[in-house]
Amino acid sequence: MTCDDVRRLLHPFVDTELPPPMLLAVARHAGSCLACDAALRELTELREALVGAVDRRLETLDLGGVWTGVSQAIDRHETRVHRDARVRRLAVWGPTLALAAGVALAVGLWNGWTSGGVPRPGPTPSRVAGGEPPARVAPRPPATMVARDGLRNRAAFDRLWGRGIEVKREPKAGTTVVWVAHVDDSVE
Amino acid sequence: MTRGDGVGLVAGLVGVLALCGPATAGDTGAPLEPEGPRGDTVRIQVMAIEAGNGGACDPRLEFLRSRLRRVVSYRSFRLVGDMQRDVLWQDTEVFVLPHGTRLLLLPKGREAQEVLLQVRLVDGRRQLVDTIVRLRNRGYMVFGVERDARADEALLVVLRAED
Repeated sequence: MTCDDVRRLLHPFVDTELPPPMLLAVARHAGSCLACDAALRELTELREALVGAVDRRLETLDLGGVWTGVSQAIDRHETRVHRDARVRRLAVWGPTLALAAGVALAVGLWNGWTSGGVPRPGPTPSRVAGGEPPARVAPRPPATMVARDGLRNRAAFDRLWGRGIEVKREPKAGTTVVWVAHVDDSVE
Repeated sequence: MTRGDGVGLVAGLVGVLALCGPATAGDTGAPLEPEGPRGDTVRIQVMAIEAGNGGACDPRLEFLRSRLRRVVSYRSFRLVGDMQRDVLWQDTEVFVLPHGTRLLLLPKGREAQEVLLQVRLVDGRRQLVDTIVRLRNRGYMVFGVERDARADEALLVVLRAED
C-alpha cells in the first residue's frame, strides 16, 4: 500500500467503513510512515472536534415551537383550500342556476303561472360543496426530543482494554459498540 | 499473517485511534460526584441479546434493531435477559449473562449529563474488556462478543444507565 492509497482511504478508515483487511493494511502503513500517521491523527482530531461541536449545538437547540408553527400553517392552508374550492364551485353553479331560473321563469310566463314563484333550484352550491375536512396530521414528538436524541448514545472512554476489541459507532445516535472478536483459547 | 497477528494489529489500531481522539478519551481530571442530592444509586439496565443470521427478530428489540444492523453484521436479535438494578455509587454489581459471561460494574460518579462507569466483561476466567466509560444519562452502549471463529453468533450486551 502506498501513501497515495492511504490518502484516498483516510476518510473511510477513520469512519471504520473499510473491510478489516484494508483497515489493517492502512494501519500497518501508517505505523511505518510518519506523514500518513500525521494525516490520520489530524483527520481523527478534526472529526472528533466536529462531532463535539455538532453535539453541543444539538444540546442547546430548542425546536419546541416548530411543530406549533407547522400546525398553524396547516390550518391556514386548509382554510384557504376550502375557500378556494367554494369559489370555484360557485363559478360553475352560478351561470347554471341563472340559466335554470330564466328557463323556469319563461315556462311559468308561458303557462300563465304567476302565483307559484320561481321553482326551487335544488341544493345550494354550499351544501353540495360540503364534505368531510381532510384528516389532520397526527401529532409528532416534540422536535427538541428528536434533536437531543441525536447522539445521545455516544459513549466516551477514559480507559479501554481488551484483546481483539474494536470500537464501532452507529452514526445516527452515536450508539457505541465495543466489539470483541472471537479469540481462540488455544493460542492464549 | 496469523489470526493472532491480526487481532494484535486491530488492538493496536484501536489504541492508536484512542490516543488520537482527545474528545473520546475524555478529561479524567475533572471532579466527580460520587453521591449527591439526586440519590445514592444509579439505575442500571443490562440486556443480553443473542445475535445471529437466522430466525425472526424479537419484537421487544425493534427499537434497537436498525441501530444494531448499522454496525454489526447480524440480522436477527433475540432478547435472552433483561435486568434492572439500582446500584450504589462506588459499589460493584455483578450481572450474570448467558454462557458463563459476567458483567462487573462499578458506578464511579456523575459529571454533568454523564455517568462514569467502570465495566469489566468476563467470560469464564478470561477477561474480555476492562473499561472506564462515560455514558450519557439515560443513554446506552453495547458490548458484542463473537461466540465462535466463524462469527455465526454473538452475544450482545446492552448497558444503560439512568441517574
